[in-house]
This record gives sequence, structure tokens and C-alpha cells, in this order.
Amino acid sequence: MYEKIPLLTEKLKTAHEDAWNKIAGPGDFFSGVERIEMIRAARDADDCELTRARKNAISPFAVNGEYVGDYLLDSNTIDVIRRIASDPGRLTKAWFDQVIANGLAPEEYVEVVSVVTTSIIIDTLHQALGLAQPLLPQAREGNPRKVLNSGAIEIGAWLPVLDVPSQTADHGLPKVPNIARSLGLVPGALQLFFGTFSPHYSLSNIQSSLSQDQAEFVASRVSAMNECFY
Amino acid sequence: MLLSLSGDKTGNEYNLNAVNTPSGLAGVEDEHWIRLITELTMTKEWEQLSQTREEAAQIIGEQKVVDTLVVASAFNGITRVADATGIPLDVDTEKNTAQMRTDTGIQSFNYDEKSARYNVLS
Repeated sequence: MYEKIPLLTEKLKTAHEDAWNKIAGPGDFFSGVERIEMIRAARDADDCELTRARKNAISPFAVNGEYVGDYLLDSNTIDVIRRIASDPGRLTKAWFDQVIANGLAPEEYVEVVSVVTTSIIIDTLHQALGLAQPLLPQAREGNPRKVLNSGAIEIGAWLPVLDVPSQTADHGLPKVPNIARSLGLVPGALQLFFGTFSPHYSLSNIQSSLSQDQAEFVASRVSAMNECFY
Repeated sequence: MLLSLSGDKTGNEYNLNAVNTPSGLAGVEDEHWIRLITELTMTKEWEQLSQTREEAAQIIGEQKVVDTLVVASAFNGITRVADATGIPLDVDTEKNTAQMRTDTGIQSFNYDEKSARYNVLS
């Protein structure tokens, strides 16, 4: 990946290649083939009529319909992927509860979120740099590991999160902020996402040609455009 | 919004209202180009972004253009993690940013208000 972009760090390039490779193998609750289908379904979001209609509606839950496309994943999972990819700022707890009631287990949901958001980071960077999206990886065979963090705790999120001691870092924020705990129900999902994210940004002393203030401005503008509260 | 915390550390004061609107100036160095690159990334205007990357590289340097995309792409992922998991603000952040969230309109993005707005028709 990124052979023609010397201005990216080797750490970032390696992290993205590792993530792509990890997605191609079995996760904790989905096979490699299913995880690759998640990327495909996320990429197809922009061309999906139902997804576009929902995004353009006053309420994204006011438009009924069925997703078109030949996917190995069920329609409940495709719905999660499409909404995260296209309209994340309008997800609600009631929608999440319905997704779980429709049969996607919380731990499966966490894995879907991790794979989709990881692929969005990688695809966004490719497209923004003027590169083609990377080819979907070749799936590796194997059974899901079924590793769940039974020590995950409730802190008011929609899902149980990683339990960590409450400690404040030098920059005045928690050593492990809530967002870094959010996928903690499935350790492999948390590692996949944050292994990809970490070379992009840090809360202090960012290693970048951008100052910390400039990086925070970019982060804030993206958050605002995605209507993200956190 | 960590821009306020970062500004506190560097002694710079920023107009945080500008972050939540498509216009206005927050006061960050090279803001015009950094904002434009970020916004074109988020709106997926790839052709326009390609031209803007080249123009911006002449002025702020190619490395800064690439590093802006590096941060923007990361937050395009992590904001989705936050929104898909309903993760609450950290306790101190919630206490220390209440006024700022109200002033900038970010408070309207909180999960309860979103539910009230968007679940109406479901």
C-alpha cells in the first residue's frame, strides 16, 4: 500500500497492511470471507438507492425498503454497515436495540463496527491521496476465535466497554479515554481498530508536520461534519 | 473538542464556533487550506480535492497536505466508532466543556437529543 507516497510514515503503512491482512483472516465471530464482505458492503453504500434515500430523509428511520445486492451477510448486518458508512451521526440507541433484537449479538456488532471503521480509515486515506481503493484481500480460511472479554463493564455506552483504572495523563485527559475502551467487549476488534488509528494521531506531542492545534482543528472539523458528540 | 484544551496548553485562543460551521475562522495557522482539504475529504469531492492538494502543497507544503489527510481519515473512522457505540464523554471532559458544547452547538449531537429528533418517525 502507498508505494508512491513517501510522505507517509512506515509505521502507518505497516499498520494499514497489517489491518488489511487481519481483516482477511477469521475474526472472533466472523470468518475472513464475511469480514471482507463487510468492506464490500461499506464501499457499496454510496451507490445504494435505499442508503441514499435514508441519508436524504429528515429521519433516516422513516424510509422503508430492502437492500439490493448479493452479500453473504444478512440484511440486519448490512443495515448496520450501511448506516455506519453513510450516516453515522444519526444512529440512535433505539436503532441499536432493534439491531440486537433482530439477532446480531453485541459482540458480533462490535466486530462489524471495528472492521467497517478500520476499512473506512484506509479507504478514506487512499481516496484523499488520489489512489485507488486497495483491492479486497484474499480471505484466509479458519474458524472465528470466539474470544470475548467477560470483564467488560457498563459505563453508560450502548455496549459494555474495557475496564481500566481511572488515571489522568499529563495532558489532563484520562490515560485511557472512553473512546479507546469502546470496542473492549471484543479484544481483537479493539486491537484491529486502534492498531490502525494510532499511527495517525496522538492526544499530545503529535509526530507530524501539523502542530497539535492544527491536528485538533482537523479532528474537530471532521467530528462536526459527522455530527459526532464525543 | 480538544482544540480548546490544546489551545489552553499553547496559550492560543481559538474561535471554537467556527469549527461547527462551514465558514468563519477558528484562528489556527494555515486554516484556509487545512479546512478546505478536510472538508473536501469529508464530502468525497475527490476531483476538487486533487486540484486543491496541488495548490495547497505550493503554499503550506506537501507534507502538511498529507498529514492533514492522515488526521482527517483517522477521525472519519473514530467518529463512527463513537457514534456506533454511544460512548459517553469522559467525566472531566463532560464537566469542563459543558458551556463550550452549548455555545458551539455540539450539545445537539448528544445521543439523547439525536434519539428525540430521529426516532420520531421510526
